Amino acid sequence: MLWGTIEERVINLNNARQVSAVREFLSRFSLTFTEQVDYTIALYKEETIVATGSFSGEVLRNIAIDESLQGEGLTSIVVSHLMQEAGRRGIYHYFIFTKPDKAHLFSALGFKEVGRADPYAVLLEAGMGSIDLYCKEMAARTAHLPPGKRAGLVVNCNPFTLGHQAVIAKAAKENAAVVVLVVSEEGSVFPFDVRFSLVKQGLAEYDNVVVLPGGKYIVSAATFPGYFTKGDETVTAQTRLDATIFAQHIGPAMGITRRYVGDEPYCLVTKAYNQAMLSILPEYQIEVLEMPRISVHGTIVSASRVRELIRQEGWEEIRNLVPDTTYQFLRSSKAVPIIEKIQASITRH
Amino acid sequence: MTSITKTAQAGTLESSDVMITVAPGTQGSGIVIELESIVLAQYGEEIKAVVEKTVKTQEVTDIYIKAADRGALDCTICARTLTALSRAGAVLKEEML
Repeated sequence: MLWGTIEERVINLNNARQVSAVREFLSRFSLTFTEQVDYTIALYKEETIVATGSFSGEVLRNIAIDESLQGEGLTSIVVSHLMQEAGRRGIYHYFIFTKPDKAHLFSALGFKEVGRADPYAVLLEAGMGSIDLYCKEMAARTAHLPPGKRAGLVVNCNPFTLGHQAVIAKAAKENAAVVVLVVSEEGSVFPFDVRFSLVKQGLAEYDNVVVLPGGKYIVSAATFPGYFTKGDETVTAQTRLDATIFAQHIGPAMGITRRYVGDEPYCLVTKAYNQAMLSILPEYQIEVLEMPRISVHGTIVSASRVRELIRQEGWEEIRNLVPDTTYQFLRSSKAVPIIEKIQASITRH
Repeated sequence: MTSITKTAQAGTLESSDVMITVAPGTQGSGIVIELESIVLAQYGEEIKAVVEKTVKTQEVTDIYIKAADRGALDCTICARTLTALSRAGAVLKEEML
């Protein structure tokens, strides 16, 4: 009998020996262990790891079971344990990002498919909250918009610039209504509430534009973790998955038939994301319009340029690149910790 | 009738068990049960009935319940539901010994 010989152990993420044992085990499944997890558990049999799993926020990850013990119910032990521990931390909604040929293992545990990007990846969810509930909520929050052609944009706005404003203004002119979805995930130097309020303030004059939080299903840690982690070989999977979920669920729920994107000269991840949208959205009757970036005095306006200027304290030039609302914020005392963070870092996001 | 104050869960996804998650519902929503089960076609209604009866016995209402069932027996379903209710802040009618 298997049960008596299996022992559950919580991995101490600060213990190099334990972490390297998990890493070694995962490498057999071509999975990489990242330290950015909140919690890791391993099942041991005679001092050898036979199964493991981790979670990071709402996302369960790095779940693997020794080949010789597959089919014995170890997946359910690992997943249950992770859900219970996450529950103790107040997390009751769970995502799993896996390969299509492994999805059935989690469906059997009550996980429901949110979207898939064959042959790369499937996203499943369980617990409280679902894509259907989310779509209903988004539909309700856009119900007041005038009928007719409706455009959608997903923006991070880190921070909001004249470039963002120009693309959205163009969309507002060319369509009856525009839905602007601001990426909710924290992971950018400007926190979500700041990004959101700067977008809102910068678009206050447009009656047919609504600004909403993007939520869990748009460029989030669940659908698109690589946006925040960088240098990941899974970018194709994630960008296609995120675009597919938008095309199948979110776009139709809000009546969006056009998506505007800014063309991306610098960031490879965003570039890949644009490519995924251009190839997937039209299949679902959503038109994709790629907007060239506007430039001021020969400089292309982009949020990364603004952050670069913040690092150099080029305030006069920043003034030319952002709306007054963003500029006022940057010069206020609330921006001080953000500016310090930018000046101390070297990353693009 | 009372309602619960927070979200809580009980149980596992192991075979023959059920994981029950309960959350406060909006006022007037009553008892809403969403069930996932490997035996949904055969026993779906019966499982829901057991959950509902357990919640009603405790005089709890305006509650959203998610049950992920892996073939649990009625007594297991009842026990997991009671534990979830108690963790969610409901004062159980009978002390469980």
